Amino acid sequence: MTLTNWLPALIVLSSLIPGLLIFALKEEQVTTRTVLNMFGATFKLVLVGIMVWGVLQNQVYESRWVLAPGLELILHADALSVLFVVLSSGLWFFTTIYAIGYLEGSPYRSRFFGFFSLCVSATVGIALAGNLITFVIFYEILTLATYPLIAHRGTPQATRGARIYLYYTMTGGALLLIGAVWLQVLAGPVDFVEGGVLDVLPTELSGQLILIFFLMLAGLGVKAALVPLHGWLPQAMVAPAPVSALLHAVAVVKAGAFGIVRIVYDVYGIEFAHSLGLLTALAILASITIIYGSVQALLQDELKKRLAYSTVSQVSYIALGAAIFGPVGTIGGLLHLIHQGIMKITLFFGAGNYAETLGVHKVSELNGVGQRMPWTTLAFTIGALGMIGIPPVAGFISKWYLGVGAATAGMDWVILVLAVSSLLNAAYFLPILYRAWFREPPAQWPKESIPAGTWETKWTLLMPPVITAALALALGLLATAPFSVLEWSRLIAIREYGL
Amino acid sequence: MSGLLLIAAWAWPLALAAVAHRPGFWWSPMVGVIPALLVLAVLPTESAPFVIPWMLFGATFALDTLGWAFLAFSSLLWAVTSVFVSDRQRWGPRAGRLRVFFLLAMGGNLMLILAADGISFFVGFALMGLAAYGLVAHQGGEQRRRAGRLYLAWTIVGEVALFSGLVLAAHQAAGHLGLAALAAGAAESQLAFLLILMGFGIKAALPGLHPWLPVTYGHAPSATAAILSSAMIKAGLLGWLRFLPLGGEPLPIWGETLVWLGLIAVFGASLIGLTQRLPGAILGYSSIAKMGILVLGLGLILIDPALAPAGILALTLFAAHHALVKGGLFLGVELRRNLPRPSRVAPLVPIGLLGLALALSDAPWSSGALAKHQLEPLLTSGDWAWLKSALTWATVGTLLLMARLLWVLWRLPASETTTSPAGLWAWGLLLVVIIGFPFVLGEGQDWSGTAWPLAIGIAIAIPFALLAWWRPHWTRGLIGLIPPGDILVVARPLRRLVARRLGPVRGLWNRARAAGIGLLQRIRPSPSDTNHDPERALRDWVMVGVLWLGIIALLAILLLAQ
Repeated sequence: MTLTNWLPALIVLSSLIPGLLIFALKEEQVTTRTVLNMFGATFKLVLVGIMVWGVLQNQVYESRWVLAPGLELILHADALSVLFVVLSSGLWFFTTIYAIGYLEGSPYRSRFFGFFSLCVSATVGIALAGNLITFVIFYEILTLATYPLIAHRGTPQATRGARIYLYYTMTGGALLLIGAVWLQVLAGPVDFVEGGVLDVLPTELSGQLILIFFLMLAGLGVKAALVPLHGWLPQAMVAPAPVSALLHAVAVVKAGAFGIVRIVYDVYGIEFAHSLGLLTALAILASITIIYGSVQALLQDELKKRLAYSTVSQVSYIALGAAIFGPVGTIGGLLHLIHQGIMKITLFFGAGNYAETLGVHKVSELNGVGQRMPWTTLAFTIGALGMIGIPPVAGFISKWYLGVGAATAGMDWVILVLAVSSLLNAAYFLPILYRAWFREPPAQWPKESIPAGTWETKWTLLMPPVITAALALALGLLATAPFSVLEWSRLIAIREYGL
Repeated sequence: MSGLLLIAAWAWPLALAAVAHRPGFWWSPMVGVIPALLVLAVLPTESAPFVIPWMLFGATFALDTLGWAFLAFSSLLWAVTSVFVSDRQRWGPRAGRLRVFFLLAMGGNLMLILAADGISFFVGFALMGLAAYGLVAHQGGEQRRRAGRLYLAWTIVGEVALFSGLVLAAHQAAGHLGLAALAAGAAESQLAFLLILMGFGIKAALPGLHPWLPVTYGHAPSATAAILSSAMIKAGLLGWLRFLPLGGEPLPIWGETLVWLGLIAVFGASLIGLTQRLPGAILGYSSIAKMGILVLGLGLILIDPALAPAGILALTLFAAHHALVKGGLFLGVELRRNLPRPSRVAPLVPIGLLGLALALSDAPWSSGALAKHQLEPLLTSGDWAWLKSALTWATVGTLLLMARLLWVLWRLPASETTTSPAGLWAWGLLLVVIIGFPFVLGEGQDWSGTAWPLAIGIAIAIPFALLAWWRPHWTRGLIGLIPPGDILVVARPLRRLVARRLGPVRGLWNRARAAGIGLLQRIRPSPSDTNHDPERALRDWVMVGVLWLGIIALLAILLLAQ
């Protein structure tokens, strides 16, 4: 056994073990817990760094255990999994810092951080899963690990939101499992392979394969919040801000979108999916979601709810990218996997800062907040402009690739969807920015609990959004820099299309 | 070295924007434009492109003759306006915010002028357009806020149209993003052409896409309207010159459309402008009319591409003249309104304004006469020779507009805020440049001009002014007859009409929804929920399942139908 065999497993364990240890800690052991958390997050980043380096050198990292004949647990690092691993472990690092500051002094923190670590372990497992069964297993673990986080506050609203979440995701998980088992019956064990594995099956199975695709899409679409399967997401916004960040940017929603990408590229294979006509169907579903989510976001006054519907809309860009045939569209979708995560986490950090510092929860209460909290608002502004697709923020880069990809694939109508969605995004984000920067602040904030000192709020709350906002800007401005997300996505697209 | 200077020209104001909000940095707008002026002084008019491979999709910056000309008049205008924006008394407690937005807009404008690839141009254009919102909406007030909202809404629509157009052009250009490649791409796709035309057309006030302009100019502070109406509106023109396929294959249909749109702008805007109350709105309609001449010229070049090199040069010269004079007029309005009246220098302002008004009306020996003269080869081409005499009448229209402006300014009450006399010096410098403009750039016979349109204009204006003086109620009905933003007035009842027509549809929808929810509740009653939750019905299991199956079935039918 060498490092190449153990590295994927180690990356999963680097948050799993601290998580399990944290469960055993007493509530008041703050320092030990913080050290464990930060050690796990940092150690994971180091391991991921080693893995990125290795994958660039064409090193193969794979951990394999036989559970039963024909049932193997495989953790495998390819270019696509590394993309997601980097996103989730990178953002997890910042979310952990944020959560430590956010939950300071609140009860049940050991339980919270325990499940928090489990959550990211499951997500990394999803990212590194080398076959469909491993994917399904970690996907289910993620469902279960997230439930206590949404219910964390224990209020009737929180338990209701968590219950709705569980109903949705358990059903979705079941559908995914049925699809996976059905597929295994037809094709034997399904490993994830660039370019797909199903095109070798006889053509008379096409009908079944289409059915299986929509079955699995229903399962994945629940987490990816495809309309009409998105109902849980706006309800789950009762959870504390770090959990929202986790749901919307790091783990849950992303796991669903990543799953769709995996199924299209590495199970069906893009060309086979295209020949079955599945891509058009997926593109239409994604487009409906994009427009519907944006329209709903426009109608919300509660800030986090508006952001939640914005996620519904934005995550479907990833599915849309997967549905556009051709390397350019693929790059667009993969880029948005990262870009949406970084921009959305910035927005949720910002919303959390407003709530935690000033007690501001509604868009209509944001007047003049830019004067009281300029750094948070600046970060929020960058995130929001990126979501609209204003250059040079990262969102523009992914939209550009999606647009050019759609034109190349002869799907000009997708450009109209992108344009309408941009207008709607502007319509629900710009009024927020206007209030924050151009209105006069009220004489008193709803519930000011952190006074303005050297900084506008606690540094643990301020640092994460400022850094992620800077990242969102840098990813756009320096799009073609070496080792950028764009370059990495190109690598994946080249391998997928065998160019 | 030259490459770094090309970067510094736009990066320096952006860097300053990071600190400009501090009171100690009140002078930051004035130093923002220094690297751009250095570029003009040091670099030759054609300089090698400077590529930053890791920025955006490989950003390229370069100076060519066209860019040099735009940089010359734009940076001069930014420099002059910056003196007004740096005024510490004038802008109230939020002056810092104004400085930040001013510098951001400046950086964007200079960036797009120097950009040699489509994406960098677009970045600069977007930055300029959005940051200018801060210039429009500064120092609140309901009307100004509404003007700001209108501006922003149209700007965003323009950005999105431009984005879509560029995406289509880039696809036609097989992924090449150089300016020439994108222009060639736009020639391949009618839709890309239309979207690019519209995207820049909103900024350049193409008739139909113009209604935001008079409202914005009317309500924005005059000092910031000065830069909007000069450097920024011309960025729209530069966009057209850079991204439309000029000098390639002839595009007669697009060309003729633009010629007629230009003519509508020239005459329509002059007439509507005469009915305006606000000085900014009068100047705004005058801008639409003048941009109409440029639109017309653009159309003629599209019809006959052989005109392109000389035609583009003439349009650029005209743009420079109009930007300088229009910027000067707005700053003059600012001085007229805000300079303390009893001061010794205040009487100089009306004299300067009169001179600028004459220059805009193409009076002999002025920059206007030279700009008009340079356009002549363009106007006398082919079947369009009659345009020359038509545009002579346009001059009469401009003169009447200017007479109206002076009339309004004469009776303008002094503002409560005051401006420092430093602005007057900067304005004086601008006037010197405008006076020198024809002498430096033209030959003797070029700027002698024709005086008779001027005489006709004055002959109409004087009796009218006397009439308005002796019998105000005879002319009062005309004033305010058409509100700023003209066709917006039509849009309002239209919206009401649509709302009324939609009423029954919405009622039907609500009833159907209620019936559907009722049906579902009978199948599976859900516990009543007190807090308002419009999506509750959507979360019902039966509903989710039925919807999913329904959508999949629909998609399956679509698939089979293919």
